[in-house]
Amino acid sequence: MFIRNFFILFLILVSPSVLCRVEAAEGSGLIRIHRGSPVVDLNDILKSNSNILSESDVKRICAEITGRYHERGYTAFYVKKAVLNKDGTVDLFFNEAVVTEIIVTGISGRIDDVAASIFSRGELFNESVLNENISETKKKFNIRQINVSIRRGDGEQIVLRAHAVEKINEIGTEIFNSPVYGVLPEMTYRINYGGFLAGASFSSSFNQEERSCSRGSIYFNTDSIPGNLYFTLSADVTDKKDSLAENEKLIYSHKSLTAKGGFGYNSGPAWIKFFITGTADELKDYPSAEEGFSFSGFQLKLNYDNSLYKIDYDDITAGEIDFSSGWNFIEDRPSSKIVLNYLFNIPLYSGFFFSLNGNSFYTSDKEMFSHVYVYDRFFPCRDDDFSIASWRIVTGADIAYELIKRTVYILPGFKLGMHNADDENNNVYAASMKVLFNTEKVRIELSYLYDVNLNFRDGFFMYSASAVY
Amino acid sequence: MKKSFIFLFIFIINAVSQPLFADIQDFKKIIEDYLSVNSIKSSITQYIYLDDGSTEVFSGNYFAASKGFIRIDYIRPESQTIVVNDTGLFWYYNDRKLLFFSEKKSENTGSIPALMNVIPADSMKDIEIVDEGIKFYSLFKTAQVYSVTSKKNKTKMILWIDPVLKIIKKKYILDDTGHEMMKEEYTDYTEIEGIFIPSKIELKARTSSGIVHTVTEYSNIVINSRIEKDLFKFKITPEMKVRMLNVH
Repeated sequence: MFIRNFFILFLILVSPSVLCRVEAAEGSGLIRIHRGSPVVDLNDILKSNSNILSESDVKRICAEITGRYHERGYTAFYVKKAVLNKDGTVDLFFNEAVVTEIIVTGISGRIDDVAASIFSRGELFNESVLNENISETKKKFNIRQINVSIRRGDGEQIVLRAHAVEKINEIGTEIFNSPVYGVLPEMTYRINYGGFLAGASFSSSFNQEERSCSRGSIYFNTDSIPGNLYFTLSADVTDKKDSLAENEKLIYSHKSLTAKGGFGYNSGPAWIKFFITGTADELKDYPSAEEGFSFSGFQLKLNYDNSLYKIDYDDITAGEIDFSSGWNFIEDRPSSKIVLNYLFNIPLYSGFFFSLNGNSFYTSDKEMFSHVYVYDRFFPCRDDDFSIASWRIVTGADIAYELIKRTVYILPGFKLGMHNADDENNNVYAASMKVLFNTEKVRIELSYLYDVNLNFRDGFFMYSASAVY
Repeated sequence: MKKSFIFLFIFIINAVSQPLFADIQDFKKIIEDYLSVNSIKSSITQYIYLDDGSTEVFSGNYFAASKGFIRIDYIRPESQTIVVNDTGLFWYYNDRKLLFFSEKKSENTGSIPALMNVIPADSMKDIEIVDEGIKFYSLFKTAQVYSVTSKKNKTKMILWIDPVLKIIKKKYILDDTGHEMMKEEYTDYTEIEGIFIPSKIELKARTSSGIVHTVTEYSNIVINSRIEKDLFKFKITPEMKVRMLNVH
């Protein structure tokens, strides 16, 4: 406990770097060594000098000692000071360079284990050991690449900063209840190996309600590490049973396949992707069409998400703009779609932050199978209302309180939804209360949202839980 | 719709009713103000938030002087004396007569440590300052953001400055991949002799053992008063159990 407190207080007071190592000292005849450890055998160098030493002797000895350390891999070692005393004895002050801190970035979990595997804090820095450890760490933790920068801290000790690029082999699960489709479990799998990232996901409501949704997708990227232009391919399949706005009882079946191919570029938190894409649809029990291509054109996606780069959740900014333009062969007219999602967290006061969030959708398509349910998971303020709109703008503002440091948040809030269901422009005001549990691996969200112009009980309780393994 | 217009109106009025930026000269003035502080005395209370949800509290008296000299006399949770001087770091548990000692290994920066590293470790000549524009630091308040990059290494410091009060609100330290390694928030400013001094500093730092989270509160702050040099001396006496530490 002392060491931990010592570290924390030292961090506050002086410097973020820390080292706790009991110092060894040794002496040998004419040459006294200070701050040296027995890790490298210097006896032959020290014992060969039995006479009174001259300045040139001292220089030679220092060079030999430095060379010996460097040969053994202790490449950060140097003789900090050599004092030739009047009596011909020498005091040599070593800096053997201890690794004081190992900071790992670029991976979502197992940071402590990876750091410990790369090097042991408190040990003398040894480049050979580091290289061996990096190889072992890559194998052990399925990491594709580890770039380690070696720097001297304030006290000339060693700080290792390791940026890892994972070979992701990750399973994600999520479950949430949709106001339209019921409970939807989802499973995702991602694998990143040798410069390739591939993934698949599947979710289904398993026909719990009249309306149902099953969705599957696969994707494949070439090396998508920051700074790389990469190629991407994906395919999405959906099988839905939906209703028309004019007649809620009329349920039609809608199957679609969307294929995309294009390029992406990311520079850390910001991404840009450009696709050539097409969507083939098959409809049953739908009044005006049976099958065809509802879209063929291009798609531009702009993403920004700094959550992996920030220490605090209340500093996070994330946003996505998805713009598609092309031709709708079913309607035989141009088609364009825009999807916008955003989240801005702005700290207000200690423990409080303002969270501005929203979701917007627009399509120029006239057919309702291309439209969205107004009160879906992005605006779940009404239960049993299956209104459909070709555009919808939802803007939300939450005042968030950090109930448990960096883990549990309470977010009372307000949402304004604008849409054109039933060919009329409508505004809906909704109040919400949300509880968020957010950790590195698990996220649980409970919320209740209701239309303030309706009865409180007509709102919708929504839950979602996700975890990454 | 009407409500949204009202909200937008309030938002714009608040945004334009204050100067939206501080220029580089203002920024340099802030740094120079801090550099003009030669000594500081205060009471100190530190809260350390642990992973298990508990909080440890330390309190005592704090003294700092230029050349990086510090002395803290902790009263709570137990009597401890910490001295940082040109010899090294002395951390003494008075009741246990236990001393942890570390010899000084590097030259000090010349700036007073009381301001908790607000001042760049380098002198003003060795840093590159870039105006990064305006950002919100609360709902209706904007901050002028500057990045300060040391020419000696790739670590970047981001400073958020209130353009009206000309005070530093936040400081971030980023590594060369852009990940935040440390975040400090400065609040409860007190104007002392024309210099705004933060009396509460919250620190979060990314370390190999997770995020370290602390809050340090300063009270009864006095700056540029005479502090006896002997205060920063530490004499090792025979009854002390001495353990060596390499800390720097």
